[in-house]
Amino acid sequence: MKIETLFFTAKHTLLNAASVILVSALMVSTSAVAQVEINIDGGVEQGTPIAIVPFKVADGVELEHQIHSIVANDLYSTGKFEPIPSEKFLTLPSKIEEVRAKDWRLINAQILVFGEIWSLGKDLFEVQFRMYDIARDRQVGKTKRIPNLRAKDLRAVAHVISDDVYTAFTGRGGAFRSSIAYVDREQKGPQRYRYKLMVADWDGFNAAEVYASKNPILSPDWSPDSQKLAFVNLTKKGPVVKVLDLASGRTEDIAKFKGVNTAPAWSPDGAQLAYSSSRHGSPDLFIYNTQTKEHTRVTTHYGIDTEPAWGPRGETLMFTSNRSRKPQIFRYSLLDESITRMTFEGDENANASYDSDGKNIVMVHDGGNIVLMNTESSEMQWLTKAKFDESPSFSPNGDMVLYMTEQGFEPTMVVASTDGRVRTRVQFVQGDVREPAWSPLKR
Amino acid sequence: MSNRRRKSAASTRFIAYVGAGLVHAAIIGAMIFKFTRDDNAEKIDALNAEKIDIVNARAVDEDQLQKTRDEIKKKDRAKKKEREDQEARLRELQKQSELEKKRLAELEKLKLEAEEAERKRVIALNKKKKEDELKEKKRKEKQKLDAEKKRKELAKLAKEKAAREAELKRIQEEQALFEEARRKREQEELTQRLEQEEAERRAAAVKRAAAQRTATVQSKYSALMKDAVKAKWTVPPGTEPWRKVRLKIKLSSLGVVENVSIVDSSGSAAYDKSVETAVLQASPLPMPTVDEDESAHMKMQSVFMNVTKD
Repeated sequence: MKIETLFFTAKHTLLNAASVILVSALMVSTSAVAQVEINIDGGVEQGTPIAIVPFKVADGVELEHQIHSIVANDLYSTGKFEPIPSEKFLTLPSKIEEVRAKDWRLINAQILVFGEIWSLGKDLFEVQFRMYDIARDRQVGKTKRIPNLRAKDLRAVAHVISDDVYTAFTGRGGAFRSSIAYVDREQKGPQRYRYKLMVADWDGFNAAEVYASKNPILSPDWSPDSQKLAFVNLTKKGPVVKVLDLASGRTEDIAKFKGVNTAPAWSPDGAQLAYSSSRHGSPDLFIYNTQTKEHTRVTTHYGIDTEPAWGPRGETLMFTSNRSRKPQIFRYSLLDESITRMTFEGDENANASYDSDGKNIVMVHDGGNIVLMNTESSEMQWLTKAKFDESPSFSPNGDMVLYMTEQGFEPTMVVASTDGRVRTRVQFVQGDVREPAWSPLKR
Repeated sequence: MSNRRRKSAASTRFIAYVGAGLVHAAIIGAMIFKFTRDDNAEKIDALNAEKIDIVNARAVDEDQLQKTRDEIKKKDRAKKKEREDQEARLRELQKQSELEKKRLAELEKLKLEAEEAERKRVIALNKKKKEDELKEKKRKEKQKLDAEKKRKELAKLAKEKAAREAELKRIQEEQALFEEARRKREQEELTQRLEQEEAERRAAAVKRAAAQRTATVQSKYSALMKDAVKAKWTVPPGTEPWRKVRLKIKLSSLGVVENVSIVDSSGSAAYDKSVETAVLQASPLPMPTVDEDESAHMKMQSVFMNVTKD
């Protein structure tokens, strides 16, 4: 009796299950028929529209640095954001309860950045800021407070905010607290110049002279810890490779051999310095060990080997060589000492450098185009098409490229987003400037 | 019956007597014939002798005398031999007569035996006859019985047949009734179905019209939704042209975006997010009202979007 009941129940359950499956199958099929499909194609490629509200300053203090405009400039340069002019804003919230998503949707803002600056005494400030996702109508991350600031620090604070926003919405590290180095030629008289090695914020602000010479200064390169700069200084005997310690201001001659000594490049660990020297006739690559002070010859070809650049893991040296008649980029492996040609497109490729993860290289193509090349696919992407560009270097996060252009009356320093869509002139750099180099991230 | 037996016994005896007479006559006849033949032989010899005499009469000589003597002698020997033969023949005849007697006795005995056998046969015959009669009688009785049985069976079969026929008739009648009912029912069903089909046709026409209206409203609002989302969408720079994302969007009855979920990711988080953001930014999306079309109003509270850059 019991078993029978059980059996019956089991049968019943099975039947139920079967009917459920049947019914759900029917439902699925009907919903498949009924579902509304909308196909969208064709969108405008554009940075994320972002609204950076002018920070409310307590006590009506006039401040030199406008945080919101610095942040807007920073973010715009990356190509990933499209700051909305503040004239369009319907409200200027500084507190979370003042935010109404509707107001911002109306002007298509997707991200809102707002905050307050408190004046806590004479030249003592505190900054608080928030990021807000308009689409999802919620704050992103925590409310940040930066205390103990002086008025001149507010510029740095703006870069901190930029980095925060950049990281929060792209998932990548920002590069706005990095520096650039470049050479500024100042005319002192007829055929007399003063060459100044300059260091500035990434946007050219806070520029400071760190070294000067009557003779040309070339190809500065940052040590990985951003504490030293290697560069070439022309002397009566020829070009000499020098290293400048930024903290002390002291320089050290690294390579002043007979012939030309050029194009120094720090290894990723900062223990070695690669350069090109013609001490044995034709320029070859050498590596200088900062610990042992020894120089090791790397290449021996009768052609010109120059402009070394280290791979991000320090196991390869990329360089320019005319061993295939015209200058092209080659790669030397420190592991097996093999040399591989990397570029095949175009008559000339030169002055290449790696980005932070080694996925792309940037170089000067055909004597004046800045070109990005994927190291795996060897696919090239033109960042500039004018024939007047040179000295490209990646931002430390690899999202931007700093280069020089000689288009126009005077040389200009430009930052391009790696998608090639946005190019901005480095705001505060003027004059006869050359040889820019983007620093690593400050640690 | 005994009469018949007696008659047969008399005829048998008569045959036996005639047979015995015939045998005797034959034997006597045979003996006479024999003697007659012997006489003839002597005559021939005498003839032969005379012939010789005639032939050799001229040359009779001593040899002839001798010959005659020899012949006389020969004749004597022949006569003697003849006598002996006759005696032998007599003995033979006596012997034969005795044999005949013996044989007759034998025959008599045989006759008796035959009679005895005949008697026994007749008894057996009678017995058999009786048995046969009995058998015949029994057979007849059985036949009679069988006939009776068969008659009964036939009667039974006939009865059964009648019953069957009755049943068949009943079934046929029932079937006819059933057929009639079925026919009627089918007729009714047909009528009903036709009516239903007509109703369905009318309903379908109404439904079709409704569906058409729904489709029209739906396509109109699909286009509006598309435009609304597109207006808010910023494609992340550097997006590969092959990227495609599929979203499922839940909307309130007023078009407020209640939930966006990625059904098939493009493989790029930034791209997925940009589309999701656009949908959220476009909220509330244009939504058909109940008055416009209820079905579309219901349907469009859940939509799928397939978004490509180009």
